[in-house]
Amino acid sequence: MGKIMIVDDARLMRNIIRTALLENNDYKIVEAVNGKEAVALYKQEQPDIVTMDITMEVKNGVEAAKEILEYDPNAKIIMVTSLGQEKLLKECVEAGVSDYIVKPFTKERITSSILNSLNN
Amino acid sequence: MAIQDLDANFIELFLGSVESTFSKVFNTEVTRGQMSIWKNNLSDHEIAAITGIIGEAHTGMVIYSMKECTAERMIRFLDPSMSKEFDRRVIYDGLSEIICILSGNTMTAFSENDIEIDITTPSIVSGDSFQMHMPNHTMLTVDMLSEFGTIDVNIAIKRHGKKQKNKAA
Ligand SMILES: [Mg+2]
Repeated sequence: MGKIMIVDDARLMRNIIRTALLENNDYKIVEAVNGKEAVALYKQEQPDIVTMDITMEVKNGVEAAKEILEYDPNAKIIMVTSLGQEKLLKECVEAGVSDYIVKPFTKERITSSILNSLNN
Repeated sequence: MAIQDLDANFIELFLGSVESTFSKVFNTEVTRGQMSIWKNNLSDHEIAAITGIIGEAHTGMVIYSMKECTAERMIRFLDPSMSKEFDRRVIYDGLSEIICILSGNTMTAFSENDIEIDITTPSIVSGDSFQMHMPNHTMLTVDMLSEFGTIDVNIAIKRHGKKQKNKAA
């Protein structure tokens, strides 16, 4: 059973992602609502995969992804981005994130991204 | 500023993007209803998301307004696990996220048409028939009819001096 950390400041988005992931799979899910919480929770929970929102208060997803990758270069992070955030996304890809999905996404898109990252 | 100052091309592009993104997010069509000049209040609408537009050649704002139950239905559609109990914070948070997705897609649609704009993250306001006054702005209201209820898209946009990047030469 994989452990997945969902990071998003919007409860709606966390719920959508959690529901999609748990529909056909038995993952353990942990959640963080900003980048600062995400970095701390990553160290504590050591999840297999992280889904990371970009726009968040306190600490955004770009900084959090970089900090997590610095702490664990093998971390698997999937950025959850909106259109119009291409510059920030490029920064994340250069920093070594595994994949990204663009809102609005389908259930199939996020589940296959998680499976790919788990298997790589 | 008079009605003829409203940038028809901009508005058409904006509404087209709202329609196509809405149908992607909610898997349902929206149809355009009435178009009118905004009369300084949001009629019987109870909740509104206000976004600012800052572009190379445009400034203005777009306000999405609707009944609270319309916002609730949209959010419940995306998140059926949402508690049956009405929670205003969940509605604010959810509407804000939906508008961010709309705005992101709209910025990209404009960029594909060589118009660079930024759209600010929404501020959410609510209350019964609240009033807003915007001097020097003519605002156009377009009703968008959806299965969740009517969503008014209120647009005030001004074109200013600077020419568009790719058309200046
Ligand atoms: Mg966010």
